[in-house]
Amino acid sequence: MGDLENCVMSNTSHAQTLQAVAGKPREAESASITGPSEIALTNVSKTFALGKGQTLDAVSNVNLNIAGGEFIALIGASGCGKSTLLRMIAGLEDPSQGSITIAGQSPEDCIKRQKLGIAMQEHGLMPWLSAWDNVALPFRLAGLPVDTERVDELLALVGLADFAQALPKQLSGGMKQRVSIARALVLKPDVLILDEPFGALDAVTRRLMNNELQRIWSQQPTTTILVTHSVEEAVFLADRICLMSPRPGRLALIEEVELNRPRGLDTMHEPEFRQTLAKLTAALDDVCTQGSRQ
Amino acid sequence: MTVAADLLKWLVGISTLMVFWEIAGRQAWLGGGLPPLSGVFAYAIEPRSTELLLRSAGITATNASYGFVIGSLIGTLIACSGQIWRPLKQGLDTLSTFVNAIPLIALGPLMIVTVGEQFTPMATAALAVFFAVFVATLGGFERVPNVHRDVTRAYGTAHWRALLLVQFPNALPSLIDGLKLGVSTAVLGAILGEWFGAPAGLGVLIVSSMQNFQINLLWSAAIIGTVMSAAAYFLLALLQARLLRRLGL
Ligand SMILES: Nc1ncnc2c1ncn2[C@@H]1O[C@H](COP(=O)(O)OP(=O)(O)O)[C@@H](O)[C@H]1O
Ligand SMILES: [Mg+2]
Repeated sequence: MGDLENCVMSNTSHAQTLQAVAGKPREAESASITGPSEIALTNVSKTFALGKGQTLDAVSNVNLNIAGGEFIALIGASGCGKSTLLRMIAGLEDPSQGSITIAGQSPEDCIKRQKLGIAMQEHGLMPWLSAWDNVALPFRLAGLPVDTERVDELLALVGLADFAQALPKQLSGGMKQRVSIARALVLKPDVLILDEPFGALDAVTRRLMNNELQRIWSQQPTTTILVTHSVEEAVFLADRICLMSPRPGRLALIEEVELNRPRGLDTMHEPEFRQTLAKLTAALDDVCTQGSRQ
Repeated sequence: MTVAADLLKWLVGISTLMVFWEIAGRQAWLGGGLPPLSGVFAYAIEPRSTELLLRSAGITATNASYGFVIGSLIGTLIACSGQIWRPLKQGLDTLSTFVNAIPLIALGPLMIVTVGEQFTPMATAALAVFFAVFVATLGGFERVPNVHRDVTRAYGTAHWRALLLVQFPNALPSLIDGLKLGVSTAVLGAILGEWFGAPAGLGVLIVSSMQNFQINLLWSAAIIGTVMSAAAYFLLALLQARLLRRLGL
């Protein structure tokens, strides 16, 4: 356990150095107003009560410090507690133990300040609203006047300017996911929470979406936590990858991704990419088979 | 499209029923209680009976309409209040099962002594509609997708705003199902209420014709009541089809 905590600590400082060395645009921005928030998870555990006195340990003792503007990918076997951890960070679920702070405050405060953007595996678009109105929805939910320019801008950013008036049922799966991501970004969140947003897409569309997300994120670096089943996706997008062990979910490994930015579709052919991918795939298999042997 | 298909199915069913009725009436299979349909029609189009039937039907339709509007408004509002004020929700769920179990007929006499004979038909109609719409709306709120709830929570949305922007539109199809059910029960409720002793209406006509053994009048009144609730049902079905298309559902 001590080792893991050390590893978490050193990783955080490493990320910050990396950030400084790479001289990313977000460094310059962080001086202005709020900026992307850092997130601290301390001894976070979640136990669900299943009734009849039965309990289920979904997440166990997670320690993680995420730097402002960092992109974190969370991988692990299904059912290992990734979504639960994400929901706790998003303030949708309370930790049973431990604490979570976003820019020094509770996730609930982050929600109240409307500084959180979420997109889940199910796109969750309102079927009765056009793509434009779906992207504008967070303004209305937050009780803010709709910034029509911002909505237009985001629809253009995800390449759907021509589909502004289309209803969700008239859009393809990939388009719906893009609307959902535009919706998550529209209020300029400090924290972006993505739970397998591309899980339902085919491999090609998924790669294109990854590339697009990478581009959008580079334009406006936001502290991002992405849950994914795809190690390839994780390596392509993330600064650091957290590998969760099967239930109860613990952080088994945290891996730095040393690929330069901006990354593009050809990044996937670099030896560095292939190496990291191979290493993490092996680690994932390892962690999962260990779990099943117990 | 589907409404038209529905209507066609109904028409086929009804014509079959009418043919059987005519045969059964002519052969007197059920004795004097079931006269041939043609005889009932012949009676109903006599000017004197037409006038009486239409006047009564008008009163029943008015009672049913008021009942429908009042009942569905109250049913919707109470179901919605549980979404805004969470502690109320548990109580409402219990109430809905309880309320479903009360037979309307047991409440009739209670209405007479509380709201009086004049307003009893409206009140029973309203009550019947209230049950249908209240239960349907609560059911609609149950079916709001979790991911939609997560979206509203992630922006710290006020309950009333989430209700207006997300929950209510999600519950609307179910609410309209309740309204569809409600229009038929509104007519039934109004007739039942009139039965308990209102001054006029189809219910009154049915009671008096039964007591005086005016079989043709009895059947005419019953048929008009049925036609009224069927027409209202289809009107709402039409509205529903349009609305669902508008809502992209
Ligand atoms: N609300 C809940 N109540 C009870 N158990 C839950 C709840 N949410 C998740 N779980 C359980 O917690 C475990 C982790 O779930 P989840 O975080 O969704 O996994 P993942 O996203 O990694 O697939 C699973 O065994 C799941 O059944
Ligand atoms: Mg999950």
